[in-house]
Amino acid sequence: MCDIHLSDEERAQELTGPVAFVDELVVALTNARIYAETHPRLKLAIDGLHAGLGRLLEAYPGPSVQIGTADGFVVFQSRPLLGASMSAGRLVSLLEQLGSGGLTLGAHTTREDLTAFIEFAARGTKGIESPATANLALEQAGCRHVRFLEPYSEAAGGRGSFADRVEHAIGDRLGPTVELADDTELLNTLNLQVPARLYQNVVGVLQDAMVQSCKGDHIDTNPALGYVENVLKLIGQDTTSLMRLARYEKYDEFTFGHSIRVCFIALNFARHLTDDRQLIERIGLAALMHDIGKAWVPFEVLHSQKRLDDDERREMNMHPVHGGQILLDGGNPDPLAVAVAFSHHQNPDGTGYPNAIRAARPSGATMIVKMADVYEALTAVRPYKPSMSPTRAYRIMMDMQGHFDPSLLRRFIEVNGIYPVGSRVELSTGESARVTGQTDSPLAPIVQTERAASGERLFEEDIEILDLREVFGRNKITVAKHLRDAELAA
Amino acid sequence: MHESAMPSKEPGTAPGLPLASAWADFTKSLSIYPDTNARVQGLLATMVEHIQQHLAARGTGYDSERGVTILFHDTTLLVDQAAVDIPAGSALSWLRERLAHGGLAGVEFMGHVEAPAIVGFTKQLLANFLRKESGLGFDDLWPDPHEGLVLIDLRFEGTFGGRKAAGPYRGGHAGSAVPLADTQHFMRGLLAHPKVRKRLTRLSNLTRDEDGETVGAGDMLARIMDDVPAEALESRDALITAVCPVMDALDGPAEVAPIGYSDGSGEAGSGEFTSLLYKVSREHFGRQGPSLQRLAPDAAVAGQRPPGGGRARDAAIEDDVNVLVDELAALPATLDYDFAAGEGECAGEQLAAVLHYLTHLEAPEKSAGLLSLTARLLASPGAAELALLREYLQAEDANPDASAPGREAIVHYLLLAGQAPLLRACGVLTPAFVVQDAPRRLPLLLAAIDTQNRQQLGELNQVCRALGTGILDHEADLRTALAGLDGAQAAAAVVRPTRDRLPLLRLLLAARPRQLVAEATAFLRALDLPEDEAFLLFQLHDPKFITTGYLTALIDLHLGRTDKDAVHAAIVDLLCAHVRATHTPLPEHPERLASIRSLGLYASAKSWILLKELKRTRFGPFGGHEPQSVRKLARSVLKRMGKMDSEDTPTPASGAPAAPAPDAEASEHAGSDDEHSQAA
Repeated sequence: MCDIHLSDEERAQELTGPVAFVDELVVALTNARIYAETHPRLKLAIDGLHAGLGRLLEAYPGPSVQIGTADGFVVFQSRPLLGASMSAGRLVSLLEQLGSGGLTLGAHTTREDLTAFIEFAARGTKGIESPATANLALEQAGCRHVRFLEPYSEAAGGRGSFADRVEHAIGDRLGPTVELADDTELLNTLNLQVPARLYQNVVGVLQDAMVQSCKGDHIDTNPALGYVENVLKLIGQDTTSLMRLARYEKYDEFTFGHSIRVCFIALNFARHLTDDRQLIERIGLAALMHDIGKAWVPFEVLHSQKRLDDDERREMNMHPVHGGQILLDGGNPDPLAVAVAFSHHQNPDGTGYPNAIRAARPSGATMIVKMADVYEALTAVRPYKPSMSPTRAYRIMMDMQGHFDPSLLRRFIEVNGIYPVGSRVELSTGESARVTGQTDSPLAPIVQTERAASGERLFEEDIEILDLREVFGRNKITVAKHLRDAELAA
Repeated sequence: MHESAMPSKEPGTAPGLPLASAWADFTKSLSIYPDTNARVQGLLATMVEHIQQHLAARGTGYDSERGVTILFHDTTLLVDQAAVDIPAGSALSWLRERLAHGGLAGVEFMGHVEAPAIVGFTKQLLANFLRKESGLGFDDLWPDPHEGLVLIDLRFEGTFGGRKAAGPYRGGHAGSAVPLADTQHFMRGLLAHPKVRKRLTRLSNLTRDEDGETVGAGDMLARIMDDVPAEALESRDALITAVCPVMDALDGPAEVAPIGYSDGSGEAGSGEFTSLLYKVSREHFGRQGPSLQRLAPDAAVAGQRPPGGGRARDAAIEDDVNVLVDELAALPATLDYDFAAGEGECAGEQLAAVLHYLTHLEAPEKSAGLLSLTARLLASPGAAELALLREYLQAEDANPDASAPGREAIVHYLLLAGQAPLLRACGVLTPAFVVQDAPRRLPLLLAAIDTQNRQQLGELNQVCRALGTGILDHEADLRTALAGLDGAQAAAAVVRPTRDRLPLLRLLLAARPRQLVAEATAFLRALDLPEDEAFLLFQLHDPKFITTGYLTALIDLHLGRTDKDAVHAAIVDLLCAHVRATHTPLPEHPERLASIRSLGLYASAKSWILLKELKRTRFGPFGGHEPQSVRKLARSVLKRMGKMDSEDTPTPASGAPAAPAPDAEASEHAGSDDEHSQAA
């Protein structure tokens, strides 16, 4: 943990270089599962990976770079790449299965090396149970500069797990002389570890579904339903942690983040509307799968960085139809999931798409997912827009006449909160805090203070849980404004 | 609609009802027959007469320049403000649908209206109903004025949730046509107006960015319309008068303002121009506080919004918690959805999706998931599902994504799945449905099947039996598929005389010849047949003697599947059948004989026919079994032939089968004749 003090510039570099590379790695692995070695899209992905490695080596010069894994996280130079870890579940699983601590990529790694490695990793490693055997297989496949590493050895303090090491590092530094301004992410890591692992698993399930549907295979939603059950349990136990994931803006960089966050938001809303646990889980599954039809939308359209033209828009607008069909092709679909995938862009007033005949009134499930979908899209970061505050998002949703049932929308805002659980706010005292619960007063949530007005992180004994309806012996404390995570870091 | 603002309803004998009914009858009639048709002309005359009578009868107190206004609103008909309920399933209901489709609530018929204008308007109305292009504006639908007719637009007042608002009723004369029923059409019409278009073009040019991208004209207009006072929405002219000054006021500042769409996301939100637009517009109209949307312009904006997503007016929505709290308090607090009552999911919604896939998938029968889900949903459908299915299968205009073949596919699937009772429960198997859809469905099926494929043939037979042929007998299929219909109703429905019914008629004729001959004859008589054939049918043929071969040939001729030769050959058979059935040698009526001659085939049809019949009775395979009367007839014919042949010598027409010379025929068969006589 020697490199924990980083300048802003170093931190920015740390976040972009390795994270981008891991993302490229995930994209290449996913493409390799779908396409043949000679497919242009796979070649493009490997080109991107090769270029990303070049940039990484430029930023971190040396004979090689190591990408490690520990406790489910992807680690670079002993630091977890929290966001990247969310989408890299397959890579992490692969490494864990081999008993490997990570990858080393030499400075002379060629495109061919990467191709051989990706093909090897995408094929699966059945029968290979050690890094040494895997390296032998890589050698035989013509990969000369990429190797699996041996597992992490225990840290000096005897605390082998990554979480332990992080805790140790932070614990060591909780003295008055230590600068804590940049520790947010590490603290988050501790709090988010369990939900993050769950998040990672759900990403894996969605990746599988996407790969299967791209290949024209039938998807199996049962594993996804299993994870939805776990998510629901976790929401019940630790709403804050999970809903923080639903708000974490950096996760927007990842392919499946939107669907998973919509699932979280929809589950949280649904459990306030009904006690029927089975229905809630089915709504969660439907939310998770609502955009599965995007698997059939052309890659260029789906990832277009420019405004879509009419033809591209039509292609994109086909995704609800594709989604229902993919689920139907699965053989024994949940009709609710099919209906939600098909109808989540239709509006009660008859507008929206696909332009099909509609029931007199959309189901509650569809409306829940639709609200979660719109809310998530508005509040998430996109390559072409910053995130939007929940307040503005709600106001825009209320202005979308004909899109939502007004009473249900009101309930959604009340349940989700004007200051949603997991979001960060600035208090009237100047302190910053995280919202941990709602009260009957929408403007007075329960918060946990995090930083002093000066911007310094509070010591553990100074952290307070405040119900803002109450007066705490001083002036009434109110929420002054929403804070974005990026705003806080700045 | 605000109930108190509605004129009180009168009993079904409201004075305007006959006029409205006459209008509906005329329109419906014109949808079937050409305008020269006697029935159409009669109904048109009746209608014009009703207009004049109505205007004459209403007495003083009315503006003499005002015509009679006929308006539809929901299930209410208003004739000069006198309200009466529209009977369900009536021609009035049918007319209302077509008017609404054209953005009309009704029409004012002026005193000087003339029949040609009514015909022209009605043809346009019917043509508009069939137009399916997207983006049609009111001006596209009604490009030309119709003398003596004032079109009254359909209006809705939008509220949150897209429901109709309780606003003042707008019945009566509405002045200019502003199709607020469809705000997208409305916006397009407005955008196309020269005054508006000129200004928007200029502003768009001024705000062009480096990449040539501009703020959308629709976005600009929608933004301005947010602030337009309610009174300016009364008519298109008033609206144009209101918005043009705003655009003029923007002209100067826009020259120096940067552009919208700065983030490339398709949201016009962050651009300086959008802010400028917002500011100028609100200042011009003296608006304060947050912008509120009126008139349900969301659809208009949605229709115009940039394809990249986002909404133009999102930019104007501020991040203000206090405003949010106020707005939140204005929303209904009681949850509309009762999850405990099972509203969390909706079988109707699921069925809508299933119907879409059944309609659009190339091979729905191969999707196990779709079939199992369909079976599950249709196992015990509730009233809502039945209503949805009924709407899907019956109302074309309420069924945006189901083409006729698509709906046919559904019916086909449901019939094969043994769901005839369900179709019946949906009210699908009605005469109207059969008339509308069966003629299209059956040829499609015929074209699609492989006639060598026994299974497909079996399926076809099943469908035919359930849909058409089963109508005419009284088997179980009939009762199952068409409960509530008797044979006459069904036959009348099937053979209603329009040309597109011919394929069905041919199919039915082949399947159930005896039952259908009379109906088919009547059907063909009602068609606009070539003169000679029509004359033959009218003058010569008694339906009871007409052969299916003749009718099939005639139908095939009109379907373009065969030529006149086949028909003429069939006519010969027909006449022979006539002889055989009546045991009279020939139709002696001079007109009938003339009609045969008019076909131009034979100089002496009489002798040729006689000879054919003679051959059949004397030497044909049935000769020995024919009744004695026929054999007697044959002998008498033989005796008379000598005389007749000296009068008429057959001369085959070009392209017709060569008629053997009577003498040659007689001598050719002489031996056989002897043998036959001996045997007798």
